[in-house]
Amino acid sequence: MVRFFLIFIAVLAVLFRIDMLDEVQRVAIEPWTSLLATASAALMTPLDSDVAHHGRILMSKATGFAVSIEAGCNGVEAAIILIAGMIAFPSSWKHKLAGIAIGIAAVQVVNLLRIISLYYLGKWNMTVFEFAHLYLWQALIMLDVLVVWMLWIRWIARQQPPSSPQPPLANAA
Amino acid sequence: MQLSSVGRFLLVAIASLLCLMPLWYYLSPQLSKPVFFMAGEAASTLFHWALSYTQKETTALLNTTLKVVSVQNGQFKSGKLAPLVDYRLLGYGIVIFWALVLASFPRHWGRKLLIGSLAMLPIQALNVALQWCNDVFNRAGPEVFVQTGLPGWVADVVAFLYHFNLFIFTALAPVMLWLLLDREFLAKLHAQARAAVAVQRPQ
Repeated sequence: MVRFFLIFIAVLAVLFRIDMLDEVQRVAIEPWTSLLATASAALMTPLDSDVAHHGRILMSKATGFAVSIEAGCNGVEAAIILIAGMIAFPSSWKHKLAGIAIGIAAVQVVNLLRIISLYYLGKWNMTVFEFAHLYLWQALIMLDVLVVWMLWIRWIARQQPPSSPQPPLANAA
Repeated sequence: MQLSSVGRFLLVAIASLLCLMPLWYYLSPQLSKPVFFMAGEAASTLFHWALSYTQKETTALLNTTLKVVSVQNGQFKSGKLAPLVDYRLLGYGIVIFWALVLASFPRHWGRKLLIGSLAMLPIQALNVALQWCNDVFNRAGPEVFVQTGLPGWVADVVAFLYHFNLFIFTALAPVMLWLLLDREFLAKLHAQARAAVAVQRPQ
């Protein structure tokens, strides 16, 4: 357990430091955030022609209400936590890479749901929007990361041959 | 249809979050009191320029001796810097912890809930102190930072820790705490998965 937490924190700190670099923000994070706005608008416009997007902003053509997808809302930090959790957990690199690829996709699907729901909540009621944005969805995204990580642990347990030992994290319990 | 242990865990955790989050929001003026007390005591012990704190509902001002000057209507006005923190922005992690304990329902869950809730207080106090420090070291300007008498690298370290805390640790800390207090849940999950394989592939 101690080994897991040490590796987890170290990987987390390194990945977050990389995420904070200006170059990384400019080259990867900002285009990714704009892509999220585009994807959200693409999912919404078939049902709601009032939605428009510009860069990282989603807006209502009728009312002018807009939400901007900022750092902390683009799912990058959630993905970083998931990656660190999978790297730190004892398993093969094949399992880690598969888990990271599928896990990030799962986290981003829920994040799209967050962005879309917050857009409509904001149009409806700003008090509810603030509550959902600042507290509720923060907790739900973390829960999403935890559940994806648990499903991955269950999956790798099923992949192991019957004679292989339990992972150290489970042994430590 | 029978839900898997992860499915049941997820449903109970979501339901708990939805029920407990408004309760926490309502109780946060009380819950923030020990957090601000710890953060205020730590700040005034560590930094000569930090005097005391003033709480108003869920926010707290750190009263300092640091001078700030601003120009208003062409006139110089001076005052003392007093960075403000809102507990709710940094304190919602405790609800995540409560929801995870209720979802995994470990042995001695009441005791674990209490221990974890108490353990969250210094973590939240650290969150509050980090935001105060970041406001002083990195947002109030170089003329304020000079008055603290600290080397420049301290501001860089605080900036990193503040952002790490804001974007990652605030929500992650309760999950790590829950993992530490209920290690059996993961072990059971792993064992169930192994048992399912053994049933499918008898030796």
